[in-house]
Amino acid sequence: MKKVIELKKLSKNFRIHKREQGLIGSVKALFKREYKTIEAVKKVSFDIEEGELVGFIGPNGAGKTTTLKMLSGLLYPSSGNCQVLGFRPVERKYEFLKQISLVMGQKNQLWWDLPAIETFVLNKEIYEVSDEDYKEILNELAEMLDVKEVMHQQVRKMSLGQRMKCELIASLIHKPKVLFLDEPTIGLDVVMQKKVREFILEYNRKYKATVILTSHYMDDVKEICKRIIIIDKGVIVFDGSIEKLIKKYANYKVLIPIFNGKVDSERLTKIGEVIENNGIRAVIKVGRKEVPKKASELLHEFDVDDLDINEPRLEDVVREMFGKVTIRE
Amino acid sequence: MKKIKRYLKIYWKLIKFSATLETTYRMSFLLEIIVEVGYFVVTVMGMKVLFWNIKTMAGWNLYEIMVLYGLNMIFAEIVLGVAFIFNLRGLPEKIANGELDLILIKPLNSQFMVSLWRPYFALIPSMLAGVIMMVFGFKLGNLVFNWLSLFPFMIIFGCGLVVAYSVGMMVVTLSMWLVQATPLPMLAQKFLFMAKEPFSIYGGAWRFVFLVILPLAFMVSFPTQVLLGELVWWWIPMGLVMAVVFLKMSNVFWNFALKSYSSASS
Ligand SMILES: Nc1ncnc2c1ncn2[C@@H]1O[C@H](COP(=O)(O)OP(=O)(O)OP(=O)(O)O)[C@@H](O)[C@H]1O
Ligand SMILES: [Mg+2]
Repeated sequence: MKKVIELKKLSKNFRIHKREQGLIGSVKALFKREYKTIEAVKKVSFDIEEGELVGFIGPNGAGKTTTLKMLSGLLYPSSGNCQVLGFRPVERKYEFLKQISLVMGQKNQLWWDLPAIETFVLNKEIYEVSDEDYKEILNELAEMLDVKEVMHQQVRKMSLGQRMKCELIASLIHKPKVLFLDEPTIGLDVVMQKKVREFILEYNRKYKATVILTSHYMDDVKEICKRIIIIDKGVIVFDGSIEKLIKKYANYKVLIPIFNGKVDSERLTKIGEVIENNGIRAVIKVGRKEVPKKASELLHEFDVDDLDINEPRLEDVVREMFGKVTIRE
Repeated sequence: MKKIKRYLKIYWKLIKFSATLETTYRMSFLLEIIVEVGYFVVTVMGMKVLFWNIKTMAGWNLYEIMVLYGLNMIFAEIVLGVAFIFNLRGLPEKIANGELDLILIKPLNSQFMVSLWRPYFALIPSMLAGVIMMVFGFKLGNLVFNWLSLFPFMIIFGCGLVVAYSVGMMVVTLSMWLVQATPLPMLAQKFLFMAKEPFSIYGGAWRFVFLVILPLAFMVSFPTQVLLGELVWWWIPMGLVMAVVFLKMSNVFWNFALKSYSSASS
């Protein structure tokens, strides 16, 4: 398979001014500015092949957005290399920019006071899409995202979800071969999130596009990405399949018994750590190796109607990797 | 050639968009007109006072000065309306808050985008005021207008616009390194519209400065002189050279500055 994205020890440092406290501090700063260096991305290396859909996750401030910005040519790397489609992104070559797209959940390119379709037409000109191609792709995308009517409305009058869908269309009108999606589902409700991620998967399959997706919603990643890359404090801490991640980082499984009568959590603690219990249905963490033993203990000592033995959920594993606050569900 | 056609096509779209938006803000149009009429009256009065006792200023009489000031107004409004008000004025902010991201990601010249993305049309009334002042100057002063002078005028005036824009662009580009950069565009404007006086009032070293270092002479004085029937042989070639050199400098500087762009943490 062809490598489409290659990073070799890619690093980015930001130099920021230290804010001095109080009046004396600001006067001092006039004469001597103090700088602080933030190592946002540290020697990151990975390759991505054509047509892959990779989930890129990590806690706030891990360096995801910074990496995507370097890959799309917005930021100069401090050291190391990256190549996308054989180009050095920072050169911002016309042929390169024409084949990629970056969608940022918090930023919009649509003209606020005009119908979304106007932005599409402008982008058609900018990306030199032929009339036939434009008609075809717009039709397809609008169909897939169900915005055929909405896109003729003024952007300011759209809901957040409608706007995001139109943002996606505006970014895809030129059928980019490589697509960087930075939290495209942020702020959307569960139904809309699902729609958007299904669309991403469909786009990836239909056009054989290579996609990197960042999100704090683990469902996005779990449902559409075969491979995930996890970054923390600027360093890649995991790169592989979700199954592999769970096996590697979760040394436990979860037992989910359904009881015929009410059971106290108190009594279940001898099996393992009780995460949830409503009396009828419980969720219990059990060490990977102990599963057979504990399961049979459970079946013998309690009146169990049904028993599920599951791998832990991705969100739980990731949450445990980073501590509770950083990953939203 | 194909490239130019593509950019023209895109620019035409942008003009149409901006015009559509402008009609939604009709108030600013009205305000513009009121401000302009006021400014017009004040300028004319000022000139009257100036010429109360003297007949000429650096060899220019009142009516010629009227033509000069009229052209100066048109010049300023074009630079402001095309490149400044909705574009370069907002650039420091775009740099600071990372909005430049959305511009840099497009397969278009980024300088084109930050400079020309949204023209501002509410300045058209002021330009008309400038035209009126010029017409008055010609009529009242019985100045001769030769249609043939329009061609060299266009070239030199165009070169002046390019030079003015390029100088402004370079000043605003500095905002890449300054934390508090919002006053920069205003500073650039002040700089550019110093060009109100006839070139002949400057002497010695200033002549060199305003011809080569900051070629204000090409902005308003020379084009006016062409309209008034005076054309020195080196104005056109030198104007063209200055326009190309300054535009190129602004582009090199901008591309250099982009290396320091750090976006913003969203
Ligand atoms: N333009 C900038 N100037 C200074 N520091 C920055 C800039 N952009 C990012 N940083 C810093 O770099 C680090 C990485 O930021 P980045 O935005 O890449 O994180 P992220 O993984 O995208 O986080 P989030 O999940 O919150 O979006 C953070 O410490 C951030 O404060
Ligand atoms: Mg981010």
